[in-house]
Amino acid sequence: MITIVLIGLLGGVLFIDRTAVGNVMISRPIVAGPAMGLLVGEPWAGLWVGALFEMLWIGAAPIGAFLPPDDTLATGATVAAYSLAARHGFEGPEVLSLAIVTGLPACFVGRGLDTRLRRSNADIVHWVDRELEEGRVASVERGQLHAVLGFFAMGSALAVIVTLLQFGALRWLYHLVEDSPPALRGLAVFHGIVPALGFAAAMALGAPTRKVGWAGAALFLAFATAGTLRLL
Amino acid sequence: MRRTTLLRVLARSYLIQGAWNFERMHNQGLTFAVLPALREMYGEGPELEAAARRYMEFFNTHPYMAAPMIGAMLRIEESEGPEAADKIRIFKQRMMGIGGALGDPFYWRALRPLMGVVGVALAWLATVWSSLALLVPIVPLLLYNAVHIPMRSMSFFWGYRDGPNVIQRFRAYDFPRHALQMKRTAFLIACGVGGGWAGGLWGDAPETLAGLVRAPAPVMPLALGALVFVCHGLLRKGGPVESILLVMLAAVLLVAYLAGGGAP
Repeated sequence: MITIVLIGLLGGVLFIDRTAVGNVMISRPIVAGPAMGLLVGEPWAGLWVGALFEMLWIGAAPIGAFLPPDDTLATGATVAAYSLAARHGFEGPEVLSLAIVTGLPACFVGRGLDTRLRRSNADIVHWVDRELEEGRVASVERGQLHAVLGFFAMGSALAVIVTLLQFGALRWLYHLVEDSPPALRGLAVFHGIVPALGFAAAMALGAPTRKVGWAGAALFLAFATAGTLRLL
Repeated sequence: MRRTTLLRVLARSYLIQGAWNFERMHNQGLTFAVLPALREMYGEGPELEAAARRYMEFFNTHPYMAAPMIGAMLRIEESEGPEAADKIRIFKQRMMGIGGALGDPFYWRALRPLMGVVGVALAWLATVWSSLALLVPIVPLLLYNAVHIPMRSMSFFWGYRDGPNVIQRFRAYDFPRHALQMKRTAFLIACGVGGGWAGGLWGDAPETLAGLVRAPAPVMPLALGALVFVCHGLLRKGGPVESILLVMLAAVLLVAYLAGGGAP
């Protein structure tokens, strides 16, 4: 129970960093993942999920009115759901693969509810307008506090609810495949090779010039060759 | 204006997006930030109410670039009083777009990805040297905020000092050139770390792949490298990352089923 409360608190803190307070980037998966991992006692899973999710959505930026997928919620809930799974006796790369897949919807659930919350913030602004008409200037501060607390409360609630739902989905999926050696082997291999997509996403940010593009390709080949020579 | 008041405004500017809304974007965050300064200038009363109402108009820019604009607005407000309304409105309209045009490519498209790539590189290196694991979240945070916080805070005071001419300060810093350098660095780090991963310098991807397909060991890095470039091509063509991930999982499971459950 205490762990669930802590997941909620950390979820709220990470969520407000995305928009409402500071934007110091503790909400980025590469920070949020290890932080959640430490909290729930799965630091390596937190590191791995954080690094993968950081790469997958590295180019998604909140520009103008566009809201990117909520990679913070997805990271936190995935790490927390995996830790609950580990406490129930199923863990390992296969389970981590399932955790990643079940974490994807969180990106869109988080974004959808964030959008709704931002719509409802207009009601706070209208209330502040009316209060200013009445000469109550301090309502600006009350309105701001109310809105920030709204972000925090939603972040906390989402972290807890999505973690529990994800854990449920994870457990159901795992029981579905646990007696199938090919499925387990496929999931273990997927865990090993899915970073390919992450690296591709990071590279897809683009080389600023053609020369840098070629230099990047050469660097990729050089490191890959160095590794291959070690395998021989 | 008192220095403590300026510091309070600066601290509040970190909550500029606290009441982000689709109707007037950062308007309430802006009003919340400048309120201590308006109170000092006008005291409590109708002038303060009128000034606060003015700031509740539409406002949207890059959240970090709001700081110099707030500083400049205070300078205008302080020097011209309630007569500053039109001048501030024009300044806001002129600067909102410029703030976005400078801040989005620099912070969101260059510094943030660089921070992420550095963290990811450390995470992979931590699979070889586990003592690096603690640095994974710390180094990117320090790297990012070593630029973000001083720039955001200093630029607030530039704005207050220079007023509407604050934009000249940013010319001297040449944001586009630095953004380009950071993008270049991030790209090269991603390529190097990706190549090392494919070759098995860190992590165990080649060995893991060998659990699925029967092939000589040196073929595995080649296959993983090809996989990275196929994914890269799909992403460049606009394929959603989530769909590619699911297709990859389906393909791996299919191959695993075709290969059967035993060892290859």
